[in-house]
Amino acid sequence: MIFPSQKPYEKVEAILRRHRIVLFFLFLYSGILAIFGFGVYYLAEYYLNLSSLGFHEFARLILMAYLLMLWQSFFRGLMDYYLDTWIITDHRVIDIHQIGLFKRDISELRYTKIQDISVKMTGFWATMLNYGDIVIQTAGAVQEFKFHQVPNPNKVKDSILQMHDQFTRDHPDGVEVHDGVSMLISQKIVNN
Amino acid sequence: MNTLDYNWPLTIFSLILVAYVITSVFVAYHLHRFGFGKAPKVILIVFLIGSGILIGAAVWSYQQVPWDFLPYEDLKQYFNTGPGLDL
Repeated sequence: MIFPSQKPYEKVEAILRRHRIVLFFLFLYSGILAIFGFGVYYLAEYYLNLSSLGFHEFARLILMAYLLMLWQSFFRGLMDYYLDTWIITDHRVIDIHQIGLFKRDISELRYTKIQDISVKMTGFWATMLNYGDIVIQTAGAVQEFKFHQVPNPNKVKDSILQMHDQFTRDHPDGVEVHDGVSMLISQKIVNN
Repeated sequence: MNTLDYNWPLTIFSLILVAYVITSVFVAYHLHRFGFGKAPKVILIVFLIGSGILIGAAVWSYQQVPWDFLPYEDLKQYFNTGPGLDL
């Protein structure tokens, strides 16, 4: 998998999104709201006899407007789900957070900045379906990195720790070297 | 012109459709621009097709409404009752 802003030397280990139960609830709520709209329309039709009052077509128009709004809010929910992503590579962790339509936060965390990782699984569904939040304490500008409702959080935590160990082993001074010039510069820095 | 002679239903309906289209453009832009992988592209196509169908259905529903069912004549006594207004 390739993502935008990926470095040529970087290898993607995992791309995470929230657990699919979030999608299930989105489908469920939208379905319930759609059924509610149709229900109100047909109940009004049946009990208030809208046709005889001349409101039948108007009620249908209201129903259509309601369905239009529901359709859009459902897809905004889907957009939110698919654009909130956590990418774990062999060099860094990237947190992409879409908030509504006009706010998008992207923060990245180098493995050298990681101080502590914890997992929080709260509630019935989280325990049963094995999803939860991962909190990474950092030494960077962003104090806390949070992965929300990710599946298999313990496995993800282990894999981040493994990446961290490997990165610190491969880059003992925290210096990343990816081309000839920077290699020479970093060697000079280390030698001095 | 009398306040009630203005085509309020068409104005309100058009405003709702314009708001829907503008917001949909932003949703589609975000899915296209920032979504990576196959799923966001599929979602985008389904969203656009569904939106087209629903907008068509809404316009059709609007055309079906016999707007004379609104009691305009009865309502006129409550509007524009100031001096000099022709009712």
